[in-house]
Amino acid sequence: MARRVAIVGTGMARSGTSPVPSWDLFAGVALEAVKEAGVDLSRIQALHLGNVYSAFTEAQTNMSPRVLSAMGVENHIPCTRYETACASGSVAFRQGYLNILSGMYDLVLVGGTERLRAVPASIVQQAMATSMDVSERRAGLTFSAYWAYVAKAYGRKHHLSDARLQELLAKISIKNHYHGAFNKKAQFQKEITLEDVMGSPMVAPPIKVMDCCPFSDGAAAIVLASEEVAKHCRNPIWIAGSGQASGRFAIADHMDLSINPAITTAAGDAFKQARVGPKDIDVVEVHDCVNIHEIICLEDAGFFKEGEGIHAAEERRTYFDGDLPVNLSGGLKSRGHPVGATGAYQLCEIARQLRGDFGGKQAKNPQMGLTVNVGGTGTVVTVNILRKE
Amino acid sequence: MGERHGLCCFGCNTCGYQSTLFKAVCPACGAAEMVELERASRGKVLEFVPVFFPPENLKDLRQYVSVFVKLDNGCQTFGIFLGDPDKIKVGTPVVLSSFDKDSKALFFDMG
Repeated sequence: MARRVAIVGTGMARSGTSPVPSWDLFAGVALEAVKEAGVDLSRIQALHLGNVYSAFTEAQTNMSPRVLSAMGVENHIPCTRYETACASGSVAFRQGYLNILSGMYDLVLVGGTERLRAVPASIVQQAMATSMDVSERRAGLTFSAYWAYVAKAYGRKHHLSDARLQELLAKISIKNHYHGAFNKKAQFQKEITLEDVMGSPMVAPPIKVMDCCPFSDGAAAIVLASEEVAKHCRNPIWIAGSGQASGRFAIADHMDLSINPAITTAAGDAFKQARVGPKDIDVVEVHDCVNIHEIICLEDAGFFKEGEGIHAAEERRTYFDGDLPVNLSGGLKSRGHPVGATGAYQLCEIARQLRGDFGGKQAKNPQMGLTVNVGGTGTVVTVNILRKE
Repeated sequence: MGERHGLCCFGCNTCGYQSTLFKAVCPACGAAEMVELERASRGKVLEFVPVFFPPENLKDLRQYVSVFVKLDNGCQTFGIFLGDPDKIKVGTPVVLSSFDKDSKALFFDMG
């Protein structure tokens, strides 16, 4: 690959409850990212936007030109909306990256936006369920039940009692809330205790309410630039590798729910492109929609052997001062999960970690960071590696 | 081919691969030989999960036990267990009890 591509601008809204529509929310963070990049808005050549549920929650489709309109951009640039469930934001990012890598453009705006909290939770639950196979959800399978099956498969495979499994899972939520307490962009900026998690209502055993992330409103934007443009920008963060893979759609077709081979494939591609391995990564953001999934992401991306990742939070290895800092944003659990924007948040957060201006718990002088963003029931996976130079 | 639900299963005539979802070609060997298999109404529980917050189509149940079942024809499917939740274990034999046309849910009972 002859061309290099950098993140030259980032913008994030505080995740939580937005008083404005998702397109207006994105417009604000897009202008923040463009300002940070130090380029004129009129130089942006394309928009790639992640968004999933606006048809259900805001009665609005055709989102990408709606966002351009909210930004005040009327110079006819191409725009596209991506929907790959919870991976939409990072897929939009990757398409912008490929645009520049191909030589088509030099400056591209990417990101995601979502507004879920302006409608009743039951509508959001119905909307989110559509990301699963229709026949399986009609058969009584819910997202929380799916994660319970995953957790039970993991526990059985690694000989963990139900009580021990629940305790170890709780410590992941506690770790992520600890980090999130310092992140001004997080939805829940507060620490939680073991009692808070273990005493929270059961959703689908062994999964409890405090094992799960919230529904969130939020938007995050990134300005990507070719090397020719980026060398004139302050503090560019380079994209070293970008992998994407797809998993089996039917959950009943999986032989082992404690692993996701699509994560391994996407991570393998990203590591190969970057010519590095897991030991070279200094800071990580992964998709902890439910805390067991933080472990699946870390193990399948190669950071831990199977069965070892579950102990990492208890051993403080994944805290900000551990040997593999994970989810210093607070992750989906504490920062929040504005579905179509989550992948873009992760990339903004890692870029800021590498620049040293994250605005929360900071990894110690990181040189390289990685994101794992996963859509649906593990059906769409992206892994991106960012590098400081 | 009628309306598909969890008891439908598709198998490859060439290599034996099975899936709950229709596929134009077999993902394992590439053969365009995926056929609908004979429906089985009996099987064994691979795993089960109590669901305390049911989705809209199952709100009337208030709470239920989701079961992951391996049917006797080799297909795997999800369903709702109607028997005594205290008696269900991994390996418990189950039998298809009913298919609700409105909710399109599959219900299993002790086999």
